[in-house]
Amino acid sequence: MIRLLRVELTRLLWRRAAVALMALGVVATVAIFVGTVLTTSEQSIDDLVDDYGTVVSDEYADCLQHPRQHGVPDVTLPEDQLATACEQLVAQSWGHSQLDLVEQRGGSGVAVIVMLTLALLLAGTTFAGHDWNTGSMANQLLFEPRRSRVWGAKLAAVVVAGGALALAVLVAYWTGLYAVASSRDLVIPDQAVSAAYKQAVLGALLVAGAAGLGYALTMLLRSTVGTLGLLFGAGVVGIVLTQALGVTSLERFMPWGNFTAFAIGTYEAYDYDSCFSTGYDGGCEPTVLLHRADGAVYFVVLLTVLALFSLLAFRRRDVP
Amino acid sequence: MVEIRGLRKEYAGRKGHQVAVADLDLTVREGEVHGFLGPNGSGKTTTIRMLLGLATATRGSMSLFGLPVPEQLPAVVGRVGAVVESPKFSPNFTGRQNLLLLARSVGVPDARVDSAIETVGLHGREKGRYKTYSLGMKQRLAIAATLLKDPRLLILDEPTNGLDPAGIREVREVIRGLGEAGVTVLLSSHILAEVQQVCTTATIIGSGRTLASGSVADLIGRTTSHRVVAPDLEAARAALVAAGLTVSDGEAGSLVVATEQPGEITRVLGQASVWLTQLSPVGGDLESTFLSLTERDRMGGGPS
Repeated sequence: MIRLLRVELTRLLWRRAAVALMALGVVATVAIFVGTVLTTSEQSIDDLVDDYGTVVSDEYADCLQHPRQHGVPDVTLPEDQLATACEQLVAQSWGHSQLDLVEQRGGSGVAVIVMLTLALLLAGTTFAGHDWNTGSMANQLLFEPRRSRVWGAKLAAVVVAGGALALAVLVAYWTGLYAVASSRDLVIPDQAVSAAYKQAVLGALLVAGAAGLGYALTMLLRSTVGTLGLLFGAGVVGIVLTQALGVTSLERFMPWGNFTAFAIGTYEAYDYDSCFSTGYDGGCEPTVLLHRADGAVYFVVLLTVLALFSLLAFRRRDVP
Repeated sequence: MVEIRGLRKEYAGRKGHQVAVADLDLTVREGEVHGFLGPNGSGKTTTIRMLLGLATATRGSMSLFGLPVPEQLPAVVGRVGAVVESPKFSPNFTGRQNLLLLARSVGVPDARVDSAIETVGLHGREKGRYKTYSLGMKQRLAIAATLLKDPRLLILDEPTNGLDPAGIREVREVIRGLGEAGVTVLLSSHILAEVQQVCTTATIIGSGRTLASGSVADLIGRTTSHRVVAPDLEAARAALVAAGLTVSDGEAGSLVVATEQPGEITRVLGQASVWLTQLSPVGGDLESTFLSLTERDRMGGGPS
């Protein structure tokens, strides 16, 4: 099995489309990192004037003249300290918010996981699809006829490669943000770094799962285009059905909410019906809180069912 | 070495079940170079695919090296090299990369890849991408893949398809050489001259059934039809057809009647008061035997 896994890892890394998709995930992460660093950088009054015009300089001048009205706590400050206080207040109003690792977990951190998930979902899909499109699956089975082993080795290859890549990229991402925050002498709350690395591990699990999902679905449908069409169709049909049938309690079953709940810890899903099922008393919040465990169960069940169908179909159906 | 009994394959289609292989029997003994002949769509490839575990049989039994397949396929696959239909490799990998992946999946050392490439004459082109190969090179690569495992049984499905005359000759020589080296070969083909030149034994199938099987010499010597010349050819045709015999036009002024029994022809024509001027056996090559058997099968006759 280890021998087959090595072969499949080699096959994956020799396949240009799969490697290009993985590289795309890395490039997207770098872009998000650069964007996050730039949009959280400190800005001087001159930078803000360049961005927003004289309204900023007017506000700064007004702060110097009427510090109390702008919220300067001590109006008896010497001139240079008053200038600094006003600069900070104006920057808070007009400039970037500071880099906050806690805040980034729900923002750019999730964005990176989403990008890696999409890239590896496609990589897993194209990896399996290529074998079917070219007909080389039959050739492989002439050498290893134990179909469960072949299926398992290929799944392991995409999951291991996807998970390892995602873990490396996410750890690098958070290490980079931590380094930037440290270099800016920002206050980093206790546990923020360990929570970020925990999210990196959880994100890697999601990405590995997505790669496995793309692979398993393509092994079932035997077509890259079929898989992409089904995923797209399922998304569109889900939205249309929700809207057309007026079902307002389905969000808890949608991938996005469960994805976010797993990555961040909680997700507030809209669930209007819950107020009526329990007797609407006017104060009901039409939401349901999804927890990480909910997201985990959701994806484990989804992947297990799909994988079983995929494996059974591969074992039983004729191979062209 | 290869034993197939009562093999059947049905496909469920929109028009009900379609039978691709109908109760087929096939025996290939150790050391034979066995031709597997049949017209297009007669079930040759489907049979080979079932034998190799790529398709499931509806019923019947198959064995390789005495072990039932597909159940015991993992135990024997290391001794079986196979090319099924057209070669199918990853187009963006080089020829060598494709072979390396197959070799490593069964623990064959990389050195054997180079040796197989050398054997099939692809040396110098092994680093080219597979999609840039000519059809002949693709066939050679497929044969190289079969040699990776040092097989005792080679199953080749139309291995000379698309090759130029020189390529065809090379492949035939490779097959003949393997046969002489003791490798058992099952060669599926519709090129009769190829089978006649290369094979020692053959099985002819039609509509998924075994029509005839035996040594090539026996099959060639077997007279399966007769040429009839008579003054009133149409009366002869009518009498023979009325008697349930399959009749086709022969060379100018003659009929070809598909039967191994010349006495049957004289009896039928005598009863119809049609007098023969000539009755001679048709045969002497595999093509005649093949055409006679498959024509009779096409017209609804059973295996002989």
